[in-house]
Amino acid sequence: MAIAVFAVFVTLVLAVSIHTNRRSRSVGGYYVANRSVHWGVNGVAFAGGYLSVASFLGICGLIAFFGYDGFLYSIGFLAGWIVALFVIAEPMKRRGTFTFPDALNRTYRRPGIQLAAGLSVLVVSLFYLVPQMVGAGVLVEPLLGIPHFWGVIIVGSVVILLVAGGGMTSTTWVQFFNGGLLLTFAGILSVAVLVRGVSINSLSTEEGVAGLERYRYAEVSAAFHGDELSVDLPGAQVVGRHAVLDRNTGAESLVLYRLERLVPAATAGGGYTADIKGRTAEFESAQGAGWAIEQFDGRPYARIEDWWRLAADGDGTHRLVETQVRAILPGGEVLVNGAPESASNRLRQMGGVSEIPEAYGESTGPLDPVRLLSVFSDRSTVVQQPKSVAFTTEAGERVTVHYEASIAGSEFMRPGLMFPLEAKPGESTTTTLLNRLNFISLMLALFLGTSALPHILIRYYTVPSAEAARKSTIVAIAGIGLFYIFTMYLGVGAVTGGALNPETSNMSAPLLARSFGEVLFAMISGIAFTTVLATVSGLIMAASGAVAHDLMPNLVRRDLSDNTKVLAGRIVAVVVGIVGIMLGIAFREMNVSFLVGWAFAVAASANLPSLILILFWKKTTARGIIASILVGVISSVALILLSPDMWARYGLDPATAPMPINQPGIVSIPLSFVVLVVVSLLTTDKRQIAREAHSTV
Amino acid sequence: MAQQTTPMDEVFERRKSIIGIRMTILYSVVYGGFVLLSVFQPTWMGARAVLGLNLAVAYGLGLILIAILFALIYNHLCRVPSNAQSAAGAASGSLPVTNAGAGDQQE
Repeated sequence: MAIAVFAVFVTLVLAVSIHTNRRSRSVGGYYVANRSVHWGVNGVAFAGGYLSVASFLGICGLIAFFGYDGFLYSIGFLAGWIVALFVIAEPMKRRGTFTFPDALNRTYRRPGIQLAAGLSVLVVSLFYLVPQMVGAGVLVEPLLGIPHFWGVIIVGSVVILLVAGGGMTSTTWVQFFNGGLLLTFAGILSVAVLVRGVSINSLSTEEGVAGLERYRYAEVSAAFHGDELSVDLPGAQVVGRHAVLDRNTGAESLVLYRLERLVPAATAGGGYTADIKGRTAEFESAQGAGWAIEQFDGRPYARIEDWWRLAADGDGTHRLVETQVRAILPGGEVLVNGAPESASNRLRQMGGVSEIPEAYGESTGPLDPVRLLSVFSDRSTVVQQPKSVAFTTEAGERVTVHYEASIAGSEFMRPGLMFPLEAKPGESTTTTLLNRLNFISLMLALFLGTSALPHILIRYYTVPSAEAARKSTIVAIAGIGLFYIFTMYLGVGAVTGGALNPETSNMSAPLLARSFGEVLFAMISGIAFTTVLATVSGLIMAASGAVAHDLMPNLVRRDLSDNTKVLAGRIVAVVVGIVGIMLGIAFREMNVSFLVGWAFAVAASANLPSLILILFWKKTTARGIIASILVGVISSVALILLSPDMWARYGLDPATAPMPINQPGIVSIPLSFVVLVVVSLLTTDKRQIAREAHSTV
Repeated sequence: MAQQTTPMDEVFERRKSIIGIRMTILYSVVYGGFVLLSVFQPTWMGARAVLGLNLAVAYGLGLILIAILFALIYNHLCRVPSNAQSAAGAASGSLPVTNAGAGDQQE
């Protein structure tokens, strides 16, 4: 069914592209949809283009896995629209014609400004394009069963046809439909979550199988004899140990024991099957890498190895708690929970609520929006948070252990689980300070970055007047605000529905939808696809405008004819689309939401100081603007490349990275402002003074 | 293309931009307070605040609702003169009617 919905969406998008092709032959038609878009449509299109897969799937996943910290992104992403509305929208519309470099350059008319601003649009668009394309591949893989590689190529090709064919007109319609679909769908899911309420050990739907009892991880008592651990599980013995050390105190924060144990099996066909953690494991023969089938009293048993987590009880006794394990053996064989990975032996979904306030008993039943959050964030509510740890054994086995940690609702629903804000025991004050600075830096970039994103800025030029630009921004704020409130319910709903895929938080919203039935799951797959399309088409449109309108005419130093400009725009759209496809494939391992924060930081550093000071500081000069844009782009990108996260990606020790924090905004945004002011003060521009006397607004 | 502007429009644009900046500053203070509370007093954010919600949830949802409310207020304040241009002039009478170009400048 998901494939059918997907096919319908692709057909619709291509129909829009063909239909709008006629209206996109002129420069005005191609780049700004003839400036004839109604403000209401434009407002919804703003929402549809802005709400990327990072907002839709990324944030829901972060809330589901890290609680309140995911919602901090929602707040930051929305708050930025305040700057867009109150400061940027109307002046940008009044000053520009096609692109925002136009608006910056209106007073000065210097090729340098247009070149620098066009370049920054290109850089930011590409930065933002990578996570979107990676997201496209990551999504189609589980949603439609298409490999990542083909997912990126299909999505990329559809976008290229859409943008090159219909320009801004088709982009607008796709963004409009996407905005409407996202809001409607998130609303429906939120209501479903409220109706379901919160219950403990509820029946859940996993991968289309309804009415499954939520899996309860087995626990066995264990006793230490000196350093030796014995477990109260017949036929089981400890064969390995792995401890995770706390980075600050050096104490063991998590201890895992590897157990070799026997599980009853049954003959099936030529092989054997066994029930392991509620899944059916299949063994083709009597012996394989990491497991074996043995006979006792004429009955077959599977001898497997898996990892259990040590839990200490207050009274000095210990327990071992079952986990889920995926291991890749040196020979390349993949084992899940000790048995070969197969369609029927995969990791189970995780997450859930194990205790709720006593007054509700086992289940709350339907709740109103305020009550749901209040129950979920209650002190006596216990949330099961999925966690994982990956390590390589001495034998070269790459093991990932997934387990659930109990955490009080009141702690889950306040800042601090993803961003380490509080001082941890043994942590140096510098580390605490840097962690906090990193967080402030991110929140600053989100607040200031929105209004400087190129695919947002171009939408101001598709409406007929400044008033329409303002009104559409207000529609956008209302729509996006509502959507971000829904994200809270989707994230919480994914937890209460036990719909968390331990390997990727991005799947939380689709799995939540699936817990209500296959129809919603098919819908969410289709919408995830339009979400990628809407954002990517906006970005490619912005990049195409920057190259054909801002960069090329100033590089060849002559005006291009209208036909040439439209043709150039279409060619650039194809080229940028292909580059996007390649980046999407190259960066497939990258976390989607992680790069989005950086794109905001680059946008804010490069564009915002010029956008603001040109409006409110009359001494701003052309050279000041050029210097500020270039310094903003270069410093933010350089700080990202020197950050601990990138250091880890290069395979180096993150602690040795030259830049101590990951988020560059707190350094590069003020730096760009300062450069603009200093350079402007050093270069009084005579032409500018003369022009200022004549210019309007 | 940029639209035709009249001195009256100029006055109104200035007035709007002053309102816009003031509302931005006000919102920044509320947002900044939220960020600083999260950073320096995360435990306070877990305390019960209103309607059974903890401070983090109430403040966070509040920030979104306030943004929508501010947007509607701003739109209302901006709407006046397009219906009655003279009313706008009167409302911003305290501001000098300046020449073209003033819109570029600081408040």
